[in-house]
Amino acid sequence: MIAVHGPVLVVILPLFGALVAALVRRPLLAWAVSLIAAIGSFVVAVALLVQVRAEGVVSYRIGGWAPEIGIEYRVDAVNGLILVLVTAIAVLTLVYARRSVLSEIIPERIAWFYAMLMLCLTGLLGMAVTGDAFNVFVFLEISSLSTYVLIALGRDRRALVAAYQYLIVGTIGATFYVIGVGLLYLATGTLNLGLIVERLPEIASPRALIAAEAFIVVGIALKLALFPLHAWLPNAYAYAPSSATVFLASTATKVAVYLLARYIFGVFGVHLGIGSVAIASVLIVLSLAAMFIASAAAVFQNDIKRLLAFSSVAQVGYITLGLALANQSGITGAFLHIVNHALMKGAAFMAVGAIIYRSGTCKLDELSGIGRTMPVTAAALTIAGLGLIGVPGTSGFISKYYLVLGAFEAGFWWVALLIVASSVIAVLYVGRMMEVIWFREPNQRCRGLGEAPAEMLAPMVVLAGMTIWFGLDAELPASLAGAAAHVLLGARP
Amino acid sequence: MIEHFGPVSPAFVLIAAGLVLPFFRGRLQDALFVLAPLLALALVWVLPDGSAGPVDWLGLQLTPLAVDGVARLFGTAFAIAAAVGALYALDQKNVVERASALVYAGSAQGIVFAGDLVTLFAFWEVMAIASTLVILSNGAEKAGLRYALIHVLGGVLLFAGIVAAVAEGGTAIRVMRADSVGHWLILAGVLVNAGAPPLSAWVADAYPRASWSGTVFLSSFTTKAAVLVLIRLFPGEQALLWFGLIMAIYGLIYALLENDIRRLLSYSIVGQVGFMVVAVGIGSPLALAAASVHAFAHILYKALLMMAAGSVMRATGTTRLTELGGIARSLPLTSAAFLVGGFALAAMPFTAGFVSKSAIMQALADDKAALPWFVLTAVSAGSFLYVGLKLPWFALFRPASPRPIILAPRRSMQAAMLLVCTALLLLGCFPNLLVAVAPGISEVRVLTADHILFQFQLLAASGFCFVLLLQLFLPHVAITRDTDWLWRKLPAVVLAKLETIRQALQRLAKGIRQQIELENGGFKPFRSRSLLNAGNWRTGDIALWATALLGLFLLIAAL
Amino acid sequence: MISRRMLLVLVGVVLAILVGLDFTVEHHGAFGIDGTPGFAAWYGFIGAVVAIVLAEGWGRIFRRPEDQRDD
Repeated sequence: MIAVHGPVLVVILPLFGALVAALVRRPLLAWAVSLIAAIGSFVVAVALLVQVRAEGVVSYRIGGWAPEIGIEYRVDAVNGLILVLVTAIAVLTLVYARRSVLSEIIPERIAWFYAMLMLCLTGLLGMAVTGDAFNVFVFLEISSLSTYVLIALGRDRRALVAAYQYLIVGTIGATFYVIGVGLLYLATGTLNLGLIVERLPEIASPRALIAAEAFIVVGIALKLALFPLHAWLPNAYAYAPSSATVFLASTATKVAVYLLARYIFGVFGVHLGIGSVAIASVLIVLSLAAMFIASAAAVFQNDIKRLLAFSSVAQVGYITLGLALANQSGITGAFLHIVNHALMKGAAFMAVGAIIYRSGTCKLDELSGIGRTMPVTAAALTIAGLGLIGVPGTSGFISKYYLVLGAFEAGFWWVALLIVASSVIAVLYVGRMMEVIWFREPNQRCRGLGEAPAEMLAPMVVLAGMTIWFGLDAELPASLAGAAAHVLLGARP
Repeated sequence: MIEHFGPVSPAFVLIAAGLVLPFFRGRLQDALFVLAPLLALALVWVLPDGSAGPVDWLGLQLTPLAVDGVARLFGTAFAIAAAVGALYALDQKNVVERASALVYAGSAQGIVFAGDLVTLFAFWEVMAIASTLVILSNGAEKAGLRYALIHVLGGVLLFAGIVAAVAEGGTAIRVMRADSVGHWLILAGVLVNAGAPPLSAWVADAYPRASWSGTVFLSSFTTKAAVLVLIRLFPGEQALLWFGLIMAIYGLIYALLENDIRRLLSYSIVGQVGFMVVAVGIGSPLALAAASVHAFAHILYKALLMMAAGSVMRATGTTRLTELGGIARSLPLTSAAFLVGGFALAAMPFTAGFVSKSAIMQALADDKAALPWFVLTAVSAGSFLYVGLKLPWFALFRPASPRPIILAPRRSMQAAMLLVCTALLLLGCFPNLLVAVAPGISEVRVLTADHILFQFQLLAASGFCFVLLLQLFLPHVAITRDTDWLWRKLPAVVLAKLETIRQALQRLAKGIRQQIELENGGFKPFRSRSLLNAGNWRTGDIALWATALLGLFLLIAAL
Repeated sequence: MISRRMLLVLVGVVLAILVGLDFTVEHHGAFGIDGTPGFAAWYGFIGAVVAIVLAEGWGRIFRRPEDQRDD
């Protein structure tokens, strides 16, 4: 069954999980249902990726309708990787979430939290798996709406403001996107991405397409928090419940980046040589700005969650930069960093969540010496931090290596220099955290604390371990990312 | 594992020992601390020449272990420094310092035996982290972070350069010229670690912040590993001549002015590394061998001097010349160590420093490099002033009421100093011992009458100058502004200036805004925000940016 | 305790003896002038004086109180 219906199963499973979780209303049961659904979805995603690596492309027609009128789900090396990543993070987040959620969300809302998390997962997987431009919009809205709720469930009252701001911004983004899709439909008469690509060469005037591309790219850019459209993200991540932050930081922006890559290479790259050149140059500038300005902002944060959130904006800059370089090494670097950043940021946010679980705060100046009392958590945060800097032996080094290589291959040696120079700023904000948690004497608040419970530590250690593992033996992720880059570039003439 | 990496590298022994060290206690930990470097030393000598087969990693050919004569020479020096430093530090109970010192020593070995650029870079970064931890473990947070930043900067320059070099010619370590962006980046990254200008100030800023024992490790590895990499990658690079000369002069002048012994010795590191860098710039086989031998000798005598300074630090609580004096009587062995180390640095005949400096000077003479030869000869005379005369006089012999001894040097510390003293004198009296490990310097005339006389005259003349101008050598309770002003003070100055400009602009803008608000019915122009509040944007601003970006895309596409 | 003046004379005498001895050995100078007897003595003296004068001048300009020491 997996072999035949995999592409749709991967989305349906979490959707049913959400439904059941909402119906059962009991916290523990909702959690168990969600976990089972997520694991199921993960298994299907892995099976799909294996199938894709063997066969190339897996296509699925919903209800048996032809792509011209129906919806086609299409899995290739690019989104196969994204599916596995997102479902894996979902499973780990759920394992982690039970204890964390108990302490942060009032009991009556816990089941809703899981329902929303699963809905969000459904939306993200749907965005990744579908081959239909409008269907992307539907799933985009599903994931966005559930995200608003997830953020608003945060224990801090500012979570409401953050959620509201994201609601407005997300709606603008979705609107831009759907306008772009509308323009595409007017020009080509179809919503199927594959068919759009086929019909683009027949379009006489590219004006409508240029407008469509601009709307779609800016719409997605809002979702992926491309600088300077990032301002919704720091507050959203900072005030959402810890488990929601873990999940969103590791998956939401990544799926948006995937969409961006799909559109600029898979759809517009074919026809609009000029369009992608313009977008590439703008994208390079914005990515570099993100790397430097957001990193600099991170240095000055006192709230670790906000600090890591700004770091996320900067790291998304690396990813979009890799896409903008538009060569094999650059895109491989971008997709590697999608995976690697998801792993290390997941570990980092899990560590912060565990610190909040024990100490009730994530203010840096109140956490002196927490490394002495919560060594495993602090170690996971340290490994993630080293990964963010790109120290050899962590996966961050591998992705940076490919990005720098891509910059040199594209002839932009100054971009290569800026990529490595921005690591220096990462040292500043990571160094500040390390100094406080390891080298200061524990203060009153941190002295009596114990280590986080094992079920929160386990997924954290897995992610931190993967950060090291993929730093030492990068064969698997590099080949997957390389295949994705190959597919994206191969779609161009 | 063994099939993959072949024979065990000394680097892995030390790094593994450093990583497991915190899990041991008491005597067992002490034993591990001292024995790991000795095991590494043994490995350096039993490893056969040649390289362990390449390992394929991400399509790159890696050679984690490549042994040749130069590697063995540096590996020996690093292992000895680590062993002696560990023996000396037996009374240092700070586990973080001990563990990171071993990892640090291991990373130095890793650089020495790296057979390709990527392995080299990996150990380069490990070295930066471990050495930062040595500083941080002494509670010097800000200094540690500054040190880390400088080394990350050097590391990223090196990284970018290595990626470029790998893209154009594979991972092999090969002789380069500073002729392309990539090669310049590599050179710049290595020079940062060597203490070359304009960032030289990090050496004197960071090293004295480590503990009395930590500085011994710091003074041994980073700069000399950089010299080794220069020998491997940039022999004969013209630019190095100038970098080296400036370092030698800079080190001399700042050491002459310095009051704190450990800072003085740190400046002197830069000066002595300058000699090596000049020799690498000459690039003849003799010059390269001379640079290696000088690095070898320098590691020994600088470790000795730092150990002596550390035991003064530990015994009296200070290393400032203005607060010391007459400690020759209370700390006799430490004082002897100062003298032997100082004489070796000043290339007094019958010390190891004489052998190595003679080799460098002869390499310069053979190459007819007149300017470097005359400058470095004068600098040699000058070095004797600060390390052989000023330091001993003001710290050891000056008539003053000596500071009370709080902690007398331990047996293990004395043993460590005694060992290095003996080694320096032995190597000085029997230069053939050094020739055996560095055959490249075999033709250098060391212990000949004219040569010995030459050096004694130089030192005596320097001594005459010292006695004559003693007033000028009086230490001051002060520091000399260094290039670290650029990153420690300048930002504050610039930010203050920017703030005044911003306020002025704000006043100006206020006037304009009032005008605009009158005209546009309350429209408020975009305001700048501080980074602290970054992200607290109003939703409208985000929408504005989105629209602006959309417009930009459309504009570009339409053009 | 010997006075500074006596020490100066002592070092001067040692230096003079060394220079005297220098006339009795065979030199291998590479640049001509460095092979002349007593070269090291006068060049070393000048080198040392130049070094200390340079350092003193530099110190006059850039010497600062120890305000950066403790951070």
